[in-house]
Amino acid sequence: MHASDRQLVADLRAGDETGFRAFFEEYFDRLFRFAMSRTHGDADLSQEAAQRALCRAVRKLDGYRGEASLFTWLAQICRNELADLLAARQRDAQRAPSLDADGEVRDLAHRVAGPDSAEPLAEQQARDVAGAVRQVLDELPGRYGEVLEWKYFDDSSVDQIALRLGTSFEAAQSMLARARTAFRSAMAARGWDADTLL
Amino acid sequence: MTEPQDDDLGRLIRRAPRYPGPDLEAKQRAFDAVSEAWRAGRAETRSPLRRAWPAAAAAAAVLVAVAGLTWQRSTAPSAVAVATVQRIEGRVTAIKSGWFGGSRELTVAGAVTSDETLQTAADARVVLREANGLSLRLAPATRVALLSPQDLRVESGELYVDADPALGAAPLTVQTAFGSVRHVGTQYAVRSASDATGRDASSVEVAVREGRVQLTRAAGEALAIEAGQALRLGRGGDVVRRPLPTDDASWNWLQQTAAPIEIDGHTLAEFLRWYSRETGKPVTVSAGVAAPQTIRLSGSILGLTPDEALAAVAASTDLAVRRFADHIELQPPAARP
Repeated sequence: MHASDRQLVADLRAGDETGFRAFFEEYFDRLFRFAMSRTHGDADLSQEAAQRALCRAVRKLDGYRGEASLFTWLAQICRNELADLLAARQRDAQRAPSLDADGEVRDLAHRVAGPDSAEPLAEQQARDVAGAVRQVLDELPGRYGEVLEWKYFDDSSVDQIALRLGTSFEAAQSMLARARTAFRSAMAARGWDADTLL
Repeated sequence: MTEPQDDDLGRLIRRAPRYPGPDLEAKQRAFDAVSEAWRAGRAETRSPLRRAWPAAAAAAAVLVAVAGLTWQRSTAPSAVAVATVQRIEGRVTAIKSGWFGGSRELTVAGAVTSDETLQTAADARVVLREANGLSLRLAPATRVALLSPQDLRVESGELYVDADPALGAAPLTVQTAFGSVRHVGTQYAVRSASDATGRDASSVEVAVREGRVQLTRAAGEALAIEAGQALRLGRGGDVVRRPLPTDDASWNWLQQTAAPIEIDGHTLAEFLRWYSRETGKPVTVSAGVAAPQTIRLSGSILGLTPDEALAAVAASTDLAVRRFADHIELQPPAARP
């Protein structure tokens, strides 16, 4: 199921320089965006978390067994790094009470922006939906998230997407259809019915 | 073909915030750090103690393995000195890799280490010398990662390598986006051109002024490049060879970054040898001139280009400089044109 991921990890373990570059290019930006959506767009923190996650991953490649996608594995490492960084930031700031003491820091890293209690309900829900969509786009397998962003943020045509992917028109169209389905499924898994939100 | 709810789905997706990509410099620092971690991880994986040793292994061999592991662990995380800065024109920055890396401006006589990436400004150049005698020159707007004294990576711009066979021609591997370059006692340049985005290499050119080098492509294929040749390797795998004379204008920037030498107390022969390596032009001495190895020089040529230095030395030794198409000749004063 994750044969290409396993092959990439095998290349890394074999010391393949090209494989390493492909790995970094494929995952650094994705992890950065993944972290950005969990840090309210804190670029420094996100860059640090993505870098630390990849450093930890390449040192512990034996830990990847191909049961989940490589990105899922990396994203979990990134979550932990974010939690550690946020905990360290809390300690540095010496705020009281310490969020770390009751374990909320880790939760903070795992969720999107916390709702402001004074915020109207509709605005809170809009923020929640936006955050959920962002996270789903970041966590979709393969290049589904990118394809959807090209299509809906950049208004790219299928021809242009095919060019960016280096594939045929038909293959790009097919990937776009699968990406839409994957998006709906992932939203549903988070408790959001995409069709009722439309 | 459009799905019935395609537009609605687009509206939903467009509700998500869209974040910009990482800063390029931060991404480069991350690449360096992850690359270092990857190499360190591999070194640990390959270390002898992690293998199943045969029970009958000799005690001496085990001791050697333990010593090797200790050395590897004690040195892998810390940077090693790669070269000394000999000359700087303009602003040259060393960016340290790692999570807490920073940057500093290079100064003459300072050391550069294996955890640093050097970046020359658009009007800057730098000359480095490794302890093993290799001379490295970075052209303007060049970025080179120092991995070890034997291993560099050209990320953009142009790196010139002078591996003087007389000094033992120390081994060096220059990594590029499309393969690695190794030499056998030679002078050559590795140029990495960027694509329109400025982020990815679009081609790599290896130009050889002396000797012979081998470019090994990422796929493993080896390409030989001889003196007087340049080979360009494109992103699509296309290979273009072209002749490149040793006095081609593309080498001219090296005149501004000649490796400085002291001539005081040294012979004319030593100076001429330096001049020839710096310029790619052979120098001969005509009949009637004393043997160059018997002529002692005094004074200094620091700060002069090789041609300026030759003129100064010729004047001080009362010799005339005659330039031919393929070489330069020193003549007695009477033959001065």
